[in-house]
Amino acid sequence: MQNLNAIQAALANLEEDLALQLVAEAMAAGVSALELLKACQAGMVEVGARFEQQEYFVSDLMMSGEIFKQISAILEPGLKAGGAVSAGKVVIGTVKGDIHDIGKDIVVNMLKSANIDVIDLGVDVAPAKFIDALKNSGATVLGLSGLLTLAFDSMKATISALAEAGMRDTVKVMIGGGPVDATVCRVVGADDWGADAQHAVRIAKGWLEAAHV
Amino acid sequence: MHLSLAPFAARVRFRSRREMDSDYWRGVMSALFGNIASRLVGTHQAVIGHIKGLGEADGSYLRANCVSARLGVDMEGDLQRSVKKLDLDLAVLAYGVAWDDIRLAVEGAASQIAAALTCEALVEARIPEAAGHHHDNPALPVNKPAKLISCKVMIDEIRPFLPAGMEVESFDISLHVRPALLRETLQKAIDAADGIYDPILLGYGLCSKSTVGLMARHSRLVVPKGDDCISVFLGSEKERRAEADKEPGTYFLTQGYIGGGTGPMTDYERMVTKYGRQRADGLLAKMMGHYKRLVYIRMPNAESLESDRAYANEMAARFGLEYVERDGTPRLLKLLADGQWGEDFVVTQPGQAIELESFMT
Repeated sequence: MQNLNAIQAALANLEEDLALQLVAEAMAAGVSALELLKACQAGMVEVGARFEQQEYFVSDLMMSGEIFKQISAILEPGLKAGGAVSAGKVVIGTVKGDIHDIGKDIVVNMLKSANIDVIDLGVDVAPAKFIDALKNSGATVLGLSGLLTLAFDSMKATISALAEAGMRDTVKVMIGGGPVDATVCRVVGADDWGADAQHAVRIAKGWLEAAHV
Repeated sequence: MHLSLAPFAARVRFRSRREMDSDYWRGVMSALFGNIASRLVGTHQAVIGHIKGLGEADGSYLRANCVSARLGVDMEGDLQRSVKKLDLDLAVLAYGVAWDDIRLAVEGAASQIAAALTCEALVEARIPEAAGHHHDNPALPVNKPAKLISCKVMIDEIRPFLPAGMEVESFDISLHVRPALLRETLQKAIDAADGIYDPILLGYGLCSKSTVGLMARHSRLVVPKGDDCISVFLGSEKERRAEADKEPGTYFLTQGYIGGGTGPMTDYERMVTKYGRQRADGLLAKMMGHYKRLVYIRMPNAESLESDRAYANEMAARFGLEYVERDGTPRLLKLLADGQWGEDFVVTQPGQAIELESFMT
């Protein structure tokens, strides 16, 4: 338990070497990958809070992402082994006109950690490309990311394209990114929005589980 | 009931037991004005146009000015020597309050201040003849002056188009890093100007939704319809989208940005200290991730172009970006200042909040 608290604190304090070392030690001591992931996620939440309180800068947020990514890579085999079959498929990408992917990449990592198959289309993704990927993969969840406010128009266009393709009823759409909130979700016509990466994973998991029932 | 639509005038005579210095009388005037303002706002929900006053003694003077209960009282001048009495000429412009209520507020404030400071106060109201012509009209008067609340990034570019004497308030560009703080700051500035100025022009864009939800109760708000100041500098949101379509990975720089305390380079030295140079370079490169092109926008009123151009060039070279220079235009700023708010602007009526939908194309 103390290990987990120390890992959470190391991540919150952005102590890269210490965090990686503690995770390696904990794994060697037999702590489960899932427990370690949870501790890291808690550390990430604390990083977000410190940014809100103006203690951390954007670069610190990115540093936390870098550390988290490395830890995720270490934990991934353990998480995969722990879980059984895939929890489902998600198509995700940064919408047309926007090329920011730091936040999206964090969500991708966390979705993968949750045993979800992710089809990541990258950045500046046109609506038709999203539709094609959904058709080819049979995924029932679409994640649209954007940091710029001009992405809102692209999100709306993508969701309209989904309706035109006759897929709006079979595909759930979640959106995320810096300026995204409930208002944006309503205005662009998405089903839900994620305030942070964990939130996005909860939404996707909820939809995928409901689809299996 | 006569409602005040012109200044209420009064002479307030203060007398102290012994000769008091300039600081004392400044305190008396400041306390009086603040007390009148809070009575008018607190009891009558009045919108204060101004409370002005001049106290003279032996050729020296003290002047006090208050435009809002929230903003406090501005004082200027000094008395050359200590005096026992000060005659103060007072003008109160408060919208939506009856003459008698202003008189009662002034008398009440004067006697309260006098009692607190152990001096005497005598109020002679001077309701001008014109007062008789004011009719019962609770609406606020028309033709209020406009005010500009703007980001510092565009202040130099819009200034040439502003009418002489227009009230301007500007805020630092670095507020953009935290949109919630920017919104809070703007709403406070709007609240302080609300009802006194109309329209209130906003030298901003959507700015990470910082302007969504802003509202004035008694004034109109006008904001250019654009994602941010890049749209403003390029003359329209359409032009900005066209530029983004050419290459979505475009990093824009203008004179106002450089040195404005934002951007990936600002934080660099701190990152080096905290994470080491290699890590800092890596984070910086990640931040610039998919950027391919740096567009430096030349603006007509931008100074020190050469050093900015050098900075922009250096940044492009550092991140391997294609460097492009192009002219911006003050078109949108001129339209904003001139009151020609067509399809390029979002205009809200009093009591109406700025909505995200208005910015969508």
